Amino acid sequence: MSILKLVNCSKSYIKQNKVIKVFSNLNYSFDCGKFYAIMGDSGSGKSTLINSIVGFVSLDTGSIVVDNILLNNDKSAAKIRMEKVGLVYQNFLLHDNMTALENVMLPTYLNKSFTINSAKKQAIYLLDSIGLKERKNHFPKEMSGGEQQRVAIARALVNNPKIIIADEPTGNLDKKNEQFIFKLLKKLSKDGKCVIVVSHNNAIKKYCDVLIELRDGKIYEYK
Amino acid sequence: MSISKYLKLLSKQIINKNNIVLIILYIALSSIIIFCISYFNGVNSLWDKWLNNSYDFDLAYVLSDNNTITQKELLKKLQNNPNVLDSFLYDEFLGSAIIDDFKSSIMSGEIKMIGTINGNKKILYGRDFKEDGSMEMICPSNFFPDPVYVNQRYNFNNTVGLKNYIDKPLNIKYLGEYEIPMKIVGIFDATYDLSDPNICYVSHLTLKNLNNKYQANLDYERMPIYIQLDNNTNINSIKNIEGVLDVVLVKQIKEDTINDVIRICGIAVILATIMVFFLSYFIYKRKLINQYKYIGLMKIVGYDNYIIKSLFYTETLLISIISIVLGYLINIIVSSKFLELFLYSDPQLALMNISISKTTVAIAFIFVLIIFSLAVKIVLKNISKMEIKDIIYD
Ligand SMILES: Nc1ncnc2c1ncn2[C@@H]1O[C@H](COP(=O)(O)OP(=O)(O)OP(=O)(O)O)[C@@H](O)[C@H]1O
Ligand SMILES: [Mg+2]
Repeated sequence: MSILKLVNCSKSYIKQNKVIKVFSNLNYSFDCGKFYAIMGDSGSGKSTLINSIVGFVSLDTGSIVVDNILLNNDKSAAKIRMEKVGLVYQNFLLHDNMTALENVMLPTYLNKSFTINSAKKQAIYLLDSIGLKERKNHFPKEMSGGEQQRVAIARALVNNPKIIIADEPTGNLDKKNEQFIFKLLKKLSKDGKCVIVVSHNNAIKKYCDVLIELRDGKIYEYK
Repeated sequence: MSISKYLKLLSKQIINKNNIVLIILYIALSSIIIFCISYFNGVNSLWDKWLNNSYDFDLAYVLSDNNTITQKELLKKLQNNPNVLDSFLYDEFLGSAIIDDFKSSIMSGEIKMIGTINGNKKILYGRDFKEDGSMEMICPSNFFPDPVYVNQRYNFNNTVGLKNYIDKPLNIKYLGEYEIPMKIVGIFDATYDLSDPNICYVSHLTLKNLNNKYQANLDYERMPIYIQLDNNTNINSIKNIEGVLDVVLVKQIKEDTINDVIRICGIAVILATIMVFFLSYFIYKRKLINQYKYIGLMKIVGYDNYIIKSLFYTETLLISIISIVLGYLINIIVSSKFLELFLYSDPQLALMNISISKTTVAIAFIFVLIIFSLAVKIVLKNISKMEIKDIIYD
């Protein structure tokens, strides 16, 4: 079932009077329950593409529809980030003044279906499921990179979004943590989520259902 | 978002080392602004009151040319002048006494007695004096029986319990020598009165009797005539009377000092305002840069600019309120000392009791708040312009 649609998407940057074409007329449809790996050379536009899905980059032309919501302004982008898409980045982006638990709870404040108590329960449940229950009162500084990234994934999951997007989630991690993260993401896709992961790492090919390559501003699909 | 969730977020935002420096700076600045605005407001609104209530500011003596006009003729002319409320000779005007009952380590017991007509003063306790020559006087509510009352020696709270002396016999010596049966019959309101607090008022007739008895050797005929004007600005209409050489006010107002203080306060308000504005601007700008990552991660999990901005605004609001309240409290403690410093040169002005009114605090509060939020508003414009990609891939 299609959950995320890209229709005729084009993006180029203008820098010092030079036009850098990142991609043009991309059409693609992502489904629930699948693990997508996006690969491609450095500078091929992977980050630009996934950031445009959540409204951090505005497209020149084309439209993006996420679970029947058309991305057309800041408000709809915020709504998509809050309800539909959990985001994970290479540098974890956790709040240093908040404990692991508080970090995971942060997105729930926006969610009317959570009270502070039910959010806490959900956050503890998620931390437990990724093996960090004992660390819930630790601050990011007191955790390893792998643990921080797991907290970030728990945070991405807490509002129960249908889509998880990760940009180089294992970029700062060692092999062991990398494997753990990929397995976790794989499991999420098995549970019915649409998981989209940008990576340079060939190990991802083992886990993904669909391999997408961005080359010369076009999408090539493998598998 | 529910209030409890919002407060939880806000507490994370506010409890932060950087904010302590900010709060201390704001406290200092807002207390300067509150002090200066209250001084402005206080002096401006009360100045007329002070002048109207201070009897001796409207007193003057008239110097005349004895060759062209006799004292009697001049007195008649002055009595007919509409700006002159009362006119009298020196023997009806001034005397002095020492009250032994009030002598202490800080008070000499010395008072001035000024002759006047009754009904001039608002009586708080007792009654006004009679004009039939009986030995009665009224004394000020800020009574302090000593001619030197500057600063450390004058203390508003150091009363002699004047109420207990109403209608009681006093050990009082006229000119410090002659025992007289004078009584205090009333206390008048001297709240807005810059006259010396050791001045008591008696009737002209009483004073005339005393002076003729104890100072008969003085040549009153050759002394100037005293007048009480309706307003000291009308002094020129007296100067124009034929035979008058000059009219001199008994007490000059030290407006220079007042104006200096107002000027200093004005400059301080302006400087403090500019400082508040730029400090808020730079501190918040720095804060924003420090918090780029946090703003970014809030955006990532779905917070929109509106909520992020409102968090910053509420934070500013709370910090401002804390600073203004603390600034106000500090002000209460410090301002009287501060005023004393300014007014040290002039004992008369030390009598001014400048209190901080509710309106003043409200004005200062709103003023400070507007400046704080203006600076923050300018800074927060950057949030919408922020390139989220710069944060994500630092
Ligand atoms: N804000 C910008 N202004 C100008 N050019 C940009 C901007 N952001 C990205 N680009 C350019 O767009 C192209 C695609 O960048 P993008 O970050 O999407 O690549 P990427 O595939 O994620 O690369 P990497 O694997 O190194 O992360 C690059 O050539 C980059 O220089
Ligand atoms: Mg990238």
